[in-house]
Formats: sequence, structure tokens, C-alpha cells
Amino acid sequence: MSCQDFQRQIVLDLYGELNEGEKVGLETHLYQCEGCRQAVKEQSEFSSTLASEASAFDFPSDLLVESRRALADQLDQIERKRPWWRIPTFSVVFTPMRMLESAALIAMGLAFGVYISNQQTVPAPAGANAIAETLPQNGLVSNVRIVSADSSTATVEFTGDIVQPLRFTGRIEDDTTRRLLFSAVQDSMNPGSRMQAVEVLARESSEPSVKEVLIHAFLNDDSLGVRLKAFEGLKPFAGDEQVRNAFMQALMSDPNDGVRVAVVDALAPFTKNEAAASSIAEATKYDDNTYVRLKGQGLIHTVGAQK
Amino acid sequence: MKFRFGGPILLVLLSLPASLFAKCLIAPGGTLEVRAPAGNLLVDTSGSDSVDVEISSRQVTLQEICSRDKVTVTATATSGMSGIPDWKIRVPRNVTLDLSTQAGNIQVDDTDGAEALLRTSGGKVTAGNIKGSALIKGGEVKTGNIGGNVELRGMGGRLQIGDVGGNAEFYSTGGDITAGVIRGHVKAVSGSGSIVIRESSGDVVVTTQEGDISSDYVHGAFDGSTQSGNIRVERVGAWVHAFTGNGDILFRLVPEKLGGDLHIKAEARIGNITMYLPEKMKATVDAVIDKPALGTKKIFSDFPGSALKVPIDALRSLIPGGPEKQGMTINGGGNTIKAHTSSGTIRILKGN
Repeated sequence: MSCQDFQRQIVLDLYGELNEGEKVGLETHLYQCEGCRQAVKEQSEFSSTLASEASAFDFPSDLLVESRRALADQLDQIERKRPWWRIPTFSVVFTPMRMLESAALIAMGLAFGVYISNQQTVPAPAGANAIAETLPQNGLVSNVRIVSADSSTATVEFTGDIVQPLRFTGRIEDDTTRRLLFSAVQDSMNPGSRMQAVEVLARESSEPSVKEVLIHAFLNDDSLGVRLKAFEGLKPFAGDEQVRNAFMQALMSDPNDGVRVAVVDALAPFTKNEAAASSIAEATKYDDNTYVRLKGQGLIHTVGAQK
Repeated sequence: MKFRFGGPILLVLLSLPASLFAKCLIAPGGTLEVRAPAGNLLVDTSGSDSVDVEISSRQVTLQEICSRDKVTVTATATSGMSGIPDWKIRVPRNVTLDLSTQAGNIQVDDTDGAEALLRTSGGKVTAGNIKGSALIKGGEVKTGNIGGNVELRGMGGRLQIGDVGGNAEFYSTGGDITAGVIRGHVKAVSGSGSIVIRESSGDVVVTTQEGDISSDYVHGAFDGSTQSGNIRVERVGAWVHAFTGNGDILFRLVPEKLGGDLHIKAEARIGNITMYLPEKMKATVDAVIDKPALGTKKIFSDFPGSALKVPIDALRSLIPGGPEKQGMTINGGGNTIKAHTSSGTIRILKGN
């Protein structure tokens, strides 16, 4: 900062308008600058002269009014230049722009107050697509946007999402229970929940729709735990063509040794003919895991010996 | 005339899957070492004073090195080997077992040897009760009780074990881990699967990426972490660290002495936290819910605590949708209790 800047601050300091940081900066500079110290001295003398002699002057009665009006005009111009997103600084001077902003803020506050009081008294409407007039007390609100705010009617329209806690008890074979379980299996963000859902569904794996879900989870889920749980449910049906195909696919593509070991073991008792044994042998021919490879190759001999 | 029929008979005999045998005497407390290129190792511990090995295949050549204290059995496989032969092994019960197969299951009866080292790179391991310590690696492992320390490593299969007389370590790439009563400390790590430790006399450190963690009683400290799953410890005797990315946390602190380290750090990103504390425990609580449900209080306590001075950032909690925070001291303050959830409920309740 130049001496000119500091000398502007000297005036503000005399009227207590500097913040702590600026004050310290100015004091540090004054310590080093003889010219500015002189400026402080002159300003102080001028102020005290004004203070002592002000009573002797006779000001025109409308000077104060004129000064305030000029100040208000200047502030208005500054306000218009201010970007819309900047919060106005606090001031006791009320310009038309500021009064308008204040009115808007009061209107929004009123609208919010009305909304809060309404939500405790108006019953919830039925129907999923109805506009909500009340909010569940245990709901978690997110993604809230204000669609419109009408200050004349003091109403605000919001959109957003509400997530509510769910507690439901039902039998596994019931539609709603099954829908919830299927939904949990598809919850990509929550592998623990998928694992639990698959484990529960595995008890009903004879049901075709459940079997399909288990096969999908077994072949596609990233989580090893989910695939293993799905495998447990499918294992008793290794003789079933649909399950067998899924097992063959896993035998060739599952990256985990444990899954491939379990699959080749599960397929073995249901491999009764040479064609089936050959397809397993082919699928396991280049497997990295010695157990899978030998077990797969050995099935041809086992089938041959049984003949 | 004799040779006219002798040749074909010999050929037929050679083509049959003839068994191979090895037999060595072994002293009580000796060691049996088996290195199998491939084979299901089926160990019968009803032997008296010798090691007997029988292999159901001519595709391997058996080699044995016999001494009273240690018997080593190895085999070389033919290049075109297919199938996994069975190795029937009969040993005295008090022999140390060091068994390894590159492919195959391992099945061992009850054994009283000082140690059991059972390893397979693919296949299951099933063992009865093991009197000494154990190191077991396999795809899936199931054992009875183990007298000493134990280390179990699974490669995509379930690990199931009975009671353990010493410390226990479990590692699984995937698959559930289930253990009985552990007399020492426990460390369990699973890539994907739930972990159940029925009881531990020492500290418990458990981590899983996906799956629940539970225990009936941890006498020492508990440090459990899961990215997705519930954590439930019915009784825990010392400090608790519990983290879940998605799930609930519940535990009951039951220390023998209130003077020990009983600090608590519980975090459920999405889920509820419930803790039961001794009524006379001294604690300083800092509970935070980042996104509480609209218009309802979600931090509960039935302790008559005194509220702490509100920190400046806690004023944010006055803004609708802002975090709900509660700081309080219980019985004058002491052990730090930090409970944090993004959305859920925190309950700090009197347990006893």
C-alpha cells in the first residue's frame, strides 16, 4: 500500500471505521513513515477544530436532508453495479433497492413460516402423484428446489425427494416381500444388503423367478460374497439345464478360484454322459487352478469308468 | 503255454487303477510330512505306530523317506495326469501333521499332534478336533475345536471353526467366517462375507468389505469395520471402535471395571447406532447426525447428562436440514464417546 492509501485510512481511523487488521497495518506503517505521522497530526487537529467550532457555524436547515438524499442516490448506483448474488452489507441507510430486498426477504420468511405451520396440521393426501401438503416427520429430505415463490399469496412451491424408514414383515413367498428382496438384490450401492437378500432368496430357489434372480446375481454381481450365496442356492439344481448353463459360464469366466472349485464340484455328480464331461473338460482345460483343471479333466474318465 | 495267457493278464493288471503303498514306522510325537502334486488327502488317525499311505492311481510315483521322528511322503505325477487321486493315509493320533496338496481336498480325523499344517491350493479342508495349534489354508475350511493358536486362510469359501484354545486369525477372500469360543485374541479379515465370533476372551479386530459382523461376547476391546453390513456385539468388555458404511451398529458395554479404557468411536454412514453403557460410567459424549430426518429429534439418551457448551459450528444445527449435534457429559465426564451417522438415529442408553 502506498502512503496515499494509508492517508485515506487515517481519516477512517479517526472515526473508528477501520477493522483490527487494517488498524494494525496502519499503525505499523505510521511507525516507519514520518510523512504519514505528520498527516495523522494534521487530520487530528482538523477534527478537533471541527468539533470545537461546529457550534459556531449556522448550517442551512435542509443541508442534512440534501446530503442524505445525495448519499442514497450514490448508494443506489453502487447497488445496481453489485452482482445479484452478492449479499448487501449492513447499513442503517435505507435505499429504495434495499427496501425492496428487505420486503422480498420478509415475504419469503412469511411463506416459509406458513409452510412450516401447515405441515403440522394438514393431513397427507392419498396417491403417489399428488402434491404433498405435509411431510412425514421421519422423512429425510434431499434435492430440494424452489419451483416458485409468490410473495402476493405468500406461497412457495418445492420439489425434492423424501426417503422414509421402512420396516416390513412378510412371508418370503408373498409378492411384496419378494419385490423388496428383488429390489435389495439390485441395490448396487449396498453389497451387504444384496448378500442378505440373496441368502434369503436362496431358501426359495426352486421358484423359477427366484432362480432367475439368483442366476443373474451369480453371474453378474461384483461381490464375491453375493456370488457365493447365490451359488449355495443354485447348487441343489446343478442338474437343471438353466443352472448348469450358468455354472458352465461361471466355470469359464469367474475370476475367483473358490467359485470355480465349488462349481466343478457341484457339476460332477450331475455329469452322467460323455458330452457333458467333455464340455466341462474343455471349459477347464486351461484353468490356472490345478484342482479345477484336474477335476474337470478327470470327469471324462469317471464317466467312462461308470459305463 | 504259461506265457500265452500270462502276457494279457499282466497287461490287464497294469491297466487297472492299481493302488500304491508306502509304510513307515513313526515314533509318538513324530511328524508326517506329505507333499502331494495332486490328491485328496484322507487322513485316518487310528493308526498305532506307523504311517501307511495308499494312493488310488498309477498316474503318480510315490516316494517316501522314513525315520522314526519324521516321515516324508512325496509323489511325482505323470504329464498327462487327469482326475484327482485319493491318498488314504493312516497315522497314529499323536503325530504332527504337515500336509500339502496342490489340488484336492484334505480330510483329517481328530488329531492330538502338537501341530496341524493343512494346505491345499484348491479344494476343501475338513478336520475334526485338533489338540495342538493349526495352520489351515483351503478353498473352504471346516474344523472342530482347536487347542492352540490357529490361522485359517480361505480362498473363496466359508471358514467354520469350533472353539479355539489360543489366539485366532482368519483370512478369507470371500465367504463367511464363523467361530466358536476363542480363548485368546481374534483377528478376522474377509473380502466379502459375514463374520461371527461367538465369544472371545481377548480383543477382537474384524474387517469385512461386505457382510455383517456379530459376537455374543467380546471380553476385551472390539474393533470392527464393514463397508456394508450390520455390527452387533451383545456384550463387550473394553473400548469399542465400530464402523459401517451402510448398516446399523449395536453393542452393550459390560466392563468388569469402570476404570479401564472404555472410549467409544462408532460411525454408521447410513444407519442407526445404539449403545448400552454402564449406568455409572463416566463419559463425555459427542454425537452427530449429518442429515437428520425432518422435524424430529434423532439423538436419544436416557442418561441424566449435562449438556456441553455448544461449539460455534453446532449453530448450524439450528438451520433446518443442518446437522443435529449433541454434546453431553455423563457422571461428570471421562471416556470419550464419539457417535456419528450421516442419516439415522443415535441412541445412548443405560445398559446395567
